[in-house]
Amino acid sequence: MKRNLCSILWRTGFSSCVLLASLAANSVFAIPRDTEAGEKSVASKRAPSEKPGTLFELAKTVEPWVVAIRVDRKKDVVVPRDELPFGGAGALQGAQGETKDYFKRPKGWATGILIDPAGFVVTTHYNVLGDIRSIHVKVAGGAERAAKIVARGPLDDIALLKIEGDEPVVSKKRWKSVPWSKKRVRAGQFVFALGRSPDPGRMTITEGVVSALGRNGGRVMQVDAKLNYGNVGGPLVDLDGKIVGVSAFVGHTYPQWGFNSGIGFATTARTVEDILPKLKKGEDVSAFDIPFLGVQSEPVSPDVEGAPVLMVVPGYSAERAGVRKGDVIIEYNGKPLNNFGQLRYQIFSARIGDEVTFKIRRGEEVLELKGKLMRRSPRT
Amino acid sequence: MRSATNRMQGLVLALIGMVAIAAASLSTAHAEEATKKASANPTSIDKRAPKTQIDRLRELEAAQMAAVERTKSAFVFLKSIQGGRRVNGIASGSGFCISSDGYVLTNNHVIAGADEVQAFLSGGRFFRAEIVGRDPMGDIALLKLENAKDLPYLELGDSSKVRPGQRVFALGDPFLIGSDPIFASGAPPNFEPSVSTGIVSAIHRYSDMYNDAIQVDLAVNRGNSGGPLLTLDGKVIGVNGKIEVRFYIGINTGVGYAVPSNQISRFLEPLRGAKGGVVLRGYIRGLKVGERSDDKPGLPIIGVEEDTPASKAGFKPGDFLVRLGGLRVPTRSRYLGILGTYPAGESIAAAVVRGSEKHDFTAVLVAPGSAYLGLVPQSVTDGVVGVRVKSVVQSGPADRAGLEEGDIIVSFAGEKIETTAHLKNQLRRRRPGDEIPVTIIRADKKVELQLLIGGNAE
Repeated sequence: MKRNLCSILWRTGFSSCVLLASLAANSVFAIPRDTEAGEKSVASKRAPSEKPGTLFELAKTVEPWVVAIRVDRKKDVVVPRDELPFGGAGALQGAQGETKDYFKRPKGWATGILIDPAGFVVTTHYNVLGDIRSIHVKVAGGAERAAKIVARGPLDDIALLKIEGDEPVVSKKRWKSVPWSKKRVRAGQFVFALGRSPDPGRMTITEGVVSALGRNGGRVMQVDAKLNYGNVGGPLVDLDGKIVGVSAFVGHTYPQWGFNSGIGFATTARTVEDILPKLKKGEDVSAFDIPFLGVQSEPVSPDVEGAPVLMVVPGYSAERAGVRKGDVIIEYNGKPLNNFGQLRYQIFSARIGDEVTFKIRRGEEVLELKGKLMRRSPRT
Repeated sequence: MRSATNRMQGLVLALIGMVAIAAASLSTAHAEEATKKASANPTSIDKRAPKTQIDRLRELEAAQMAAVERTKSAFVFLKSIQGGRRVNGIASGSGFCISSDGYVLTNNHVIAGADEVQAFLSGGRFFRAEIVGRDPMGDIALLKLENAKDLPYLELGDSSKVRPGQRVFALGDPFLIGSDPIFASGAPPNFEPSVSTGIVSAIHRYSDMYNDAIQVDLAVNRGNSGGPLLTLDGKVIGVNGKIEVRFYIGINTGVGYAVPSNQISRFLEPLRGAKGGVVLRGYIRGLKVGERSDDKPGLPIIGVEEDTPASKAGFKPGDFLVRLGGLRVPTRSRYLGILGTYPAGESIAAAVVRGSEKHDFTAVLVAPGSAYLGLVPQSVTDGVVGVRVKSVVQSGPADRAGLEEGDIIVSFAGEKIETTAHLKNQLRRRRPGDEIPVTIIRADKKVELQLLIGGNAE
């Protein structure tokens, strides 16, 4: 039970490499010039106000924010074989002698999103894992510049980088704010992954749909677009040209399962926006930054309708509201619960400080309780 | 699902235990959409600029999202537990409801050998499931969720209308992402099915057990087995069950196979009546065919027995079989494969060439082999007149009917049974698939049972 609790909290043991910088939250950034004459002429046939008619034009509208990242490593991370799902290593043993190569990350460019004229770049945490010698970022039409890790959010597979130097990366006058999507994403919706690999000067676009929304408590969506080492860390855009997510968790797709399987993940725009202010302060984001109710339940409890409370963590809302071990949480914010997964989804997609109501069943009784989602202390 | 875990070595074709739902033909959906728009606002269409790529994608997207929204609640996550014989044997896969009272379709390989089947609806509502019937050859199984009512369900579409290039989508639980902790061990799953989209690559494909499969290019992986393949109007046109793999790694290569809905529809009634057992496929009794057609007009018919379903259908030696069930028949193995997509009791359309004429026949299919009970009988020497059941073959027809060791069979199909010879005589008159009332005496009480006769090929 204790192990369960820990695992719900995840592994959070990443040291922070902090570069302090405080910037206005709503920065805008300039659209850099097109690097290739051919592409430019096609793009300029339409007036700037006109909506893109082709995917090529759509991708061009997002291109200024898409940057290439090159990481030099002394040593890369290795996925322990026993952590491979579905006996992954066992399944690979048939291909004798080649097994090891499946887990090697190829050398080359990965992708990121420029979010700020001063040179802040969002990418996946996976892209900057390993024993790093140097990081370089190439902005569209610009030169390659050294960058450093500002802060990490391994839970959401997000890292924030900063291109070094005080010079703005692009002139402030012509910057536009990052087109993060505010719309609710739906399963079956088209998404397009933009990447800058293998050639940082030529963007790639990969089509797919949203496969599911509620992965990792709703902080991550699943897509069937082909996400691989090169385009991971880059934006996933919708048909409006808005960024709905950051292609991420390639560790759950490519290296472990050998090839792209059509199962990819992306950290949602909302999640990224939630954690960005803290990352910008140079502080890592961990499981402790996710709202906490203070109950522990079981992953799957077939015979119980609701989330059975296995443990109440002292000092948090659940305990204060009077929840006891053995209670079953059957409703949360007016929504009936079948299982713990649904409760966790609700909590994960809320914010610290949110007022919540929930119903519990205790024997024959049904009680309505109120509480506030709190920040979890690393000590509990 | 075993094949969804780690026993992939040596298999080039992997069973994937997935469920897909196929949407209706895109062109139809578009036509309807356009009609609706036109009638609502007749002037707007004509003046519109030509549709851009983005416009067309938006239309497709709207159709996809609507179809997913409409169908995903009927998806079922399946866990089949093989506690008795295998340690920690949990096989997982996909399935979907086809009735509001909880009939669920999946692949046979998802649940074969299960002692217990657990089902979680989209969202996680839990049901225990019992196996109603299996078609091991067609890799289809019918389950029933216990105490289920008012459930969302999907309709089977007409797979004969499916064309290569048609937009389809699948619902499934690839790599068990929706039913197992994946981002952290111990984290609760959210029981949300995965959507993948693509097009039909080919129809009437065959490989191994799959004899009339729909080939698709969408992402289908382990755990997708048993899930629906759907058209954009939300109708099931197949059950995703198998993928081509390379390098011994069982992940999607862009080649997936689904059992077509029309094949499933043919088996649905027999499956409902299978009482947990196997539905027998049919064959054309009395028909002997050659090995290959090669440069001949069709598969040569080399023998037709008198007074059999083959002769009654009109076959004659020297005919060449050109079509069976509407499909070409280049080889004997293909002939047997096509027959495997029909249950015993159905009839099948056949076309032959005789000289310069073409003839169309309809042949009745019967179950192969002779009748089989799966019990060892023993004469009764004391008191009661009947035949004692000395032992019962596990999972055999007698076992499934509820017969137990020590029962005394006193009547079979309404006929009195006094000796083992009586029983054997009765059995000889029966064919696999016959349903027979049996009266037994158990602990001095009369018990009536319904027995589904099996075939000795079982």
